[in-house]
Amino acid sequence: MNQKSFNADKLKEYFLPVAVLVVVVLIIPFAFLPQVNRIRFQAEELGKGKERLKLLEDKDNALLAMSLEELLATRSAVLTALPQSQDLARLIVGIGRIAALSEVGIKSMDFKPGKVATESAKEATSSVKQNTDSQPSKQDSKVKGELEFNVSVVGNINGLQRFLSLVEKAKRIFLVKDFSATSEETSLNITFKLNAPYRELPKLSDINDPLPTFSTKEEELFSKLDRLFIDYTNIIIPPGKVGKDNLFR
Amino acid sequence: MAETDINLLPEITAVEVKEGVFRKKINVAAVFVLLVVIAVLLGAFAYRGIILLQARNIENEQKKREESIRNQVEKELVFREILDKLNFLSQELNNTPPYSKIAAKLNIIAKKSTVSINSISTSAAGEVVLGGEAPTSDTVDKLVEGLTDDTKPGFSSVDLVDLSGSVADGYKFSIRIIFPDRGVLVEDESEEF
Repeated sequence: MNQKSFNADKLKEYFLPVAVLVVVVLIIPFAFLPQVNRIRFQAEELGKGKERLKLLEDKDNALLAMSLEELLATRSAVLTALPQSQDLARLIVGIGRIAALSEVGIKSMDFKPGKVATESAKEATSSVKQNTDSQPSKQDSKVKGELEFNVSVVGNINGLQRFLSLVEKAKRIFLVKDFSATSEETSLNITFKLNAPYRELPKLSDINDPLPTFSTKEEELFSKLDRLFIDYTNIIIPPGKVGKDNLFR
Repeated sequence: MAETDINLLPEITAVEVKEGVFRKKINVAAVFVLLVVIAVLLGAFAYRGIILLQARNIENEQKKREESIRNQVEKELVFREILDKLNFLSQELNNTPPYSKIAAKLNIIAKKSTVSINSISTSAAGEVVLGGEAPTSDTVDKLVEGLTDDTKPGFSSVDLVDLSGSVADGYKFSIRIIFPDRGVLVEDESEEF
């Protein structure tokens, strides 16, 4: 009996430390640890936010430093090399000029619209399929096209060499896939398989995508295109009315 | 008459005094711990507040920058198009065989040799097949020697695939050449026609 009253007295005497102990023990799991977790989460979010802000600042500053006029001038030069569409009229004129300068006679030019159309259709359907995906694919921004065609010419070995040399240095890029030549009496019948690539406008990327840098590799290429490559396709095609207003008349 | 208290149980008193001091210290320590815990908790709240404030500032700044970037969307599109096209061109031009240089080399060799080359065919895999006629087998040997010399562009493999004919009628030959070089971007000012 005495022992019990003694314990109760002792408990009363140590009420404050015991209460503090209980409060601390309760505060740590129910208030302190959740708070620490929230702080950790918010600090991570803050870090991500700072990173994104840095990225946006860099991108914005880079864009501010650019001149739209200069960019449009550069783009115009690049579009000569790699247009957004097949641009057949200029392409045919270019090949004609190159053939004339090489002193070879064009026998025929054989374009393959069926193949190109099929490829375009494939690209179109694949892009539609990609667009249905919830995650935007980086492939979306790179739509390329190829226009393969054969050019048959008559000439000699010098003409063959010169034609190849001019084609390789033409500002409108023609890629020689292969060629074959067979002699016929005094001349060579030569068939070139060429590819005139074109590339559609890339789709605008996400605002969070960093701006790529214009490296020395691209600068060198642009400089070479400007200095060494010759434009054989610089003709003015007057804008005219194409197609029919009413298909039923 | 003065009255004096006499402690008859000094050991018990000493224990009580010690217990009293201990209890006081424990209480002070408990209050101190409680204050520390409360301070830490308040500090945590304050720190969260600072983080939230910073996050709000960053969010506002992000919105400003996003707006500015959206206003320059034309620049970005044009810039990306330029880079995209230049990258593509660089890749394609660096992977295309230098056919004009190959043709130039074949032209020089054919002029030096007495053989007549009747056919040339190439493939994108880097293979050239030459077909022609030669008055003697020695002239074919010389042609092969010319093709295997060290001048650029170098051919990595020159194989005489077929040689048929006779001393009286002359020989027909077929040679397969592999050229490993790629790229039409190399500046060469020495090209003359």
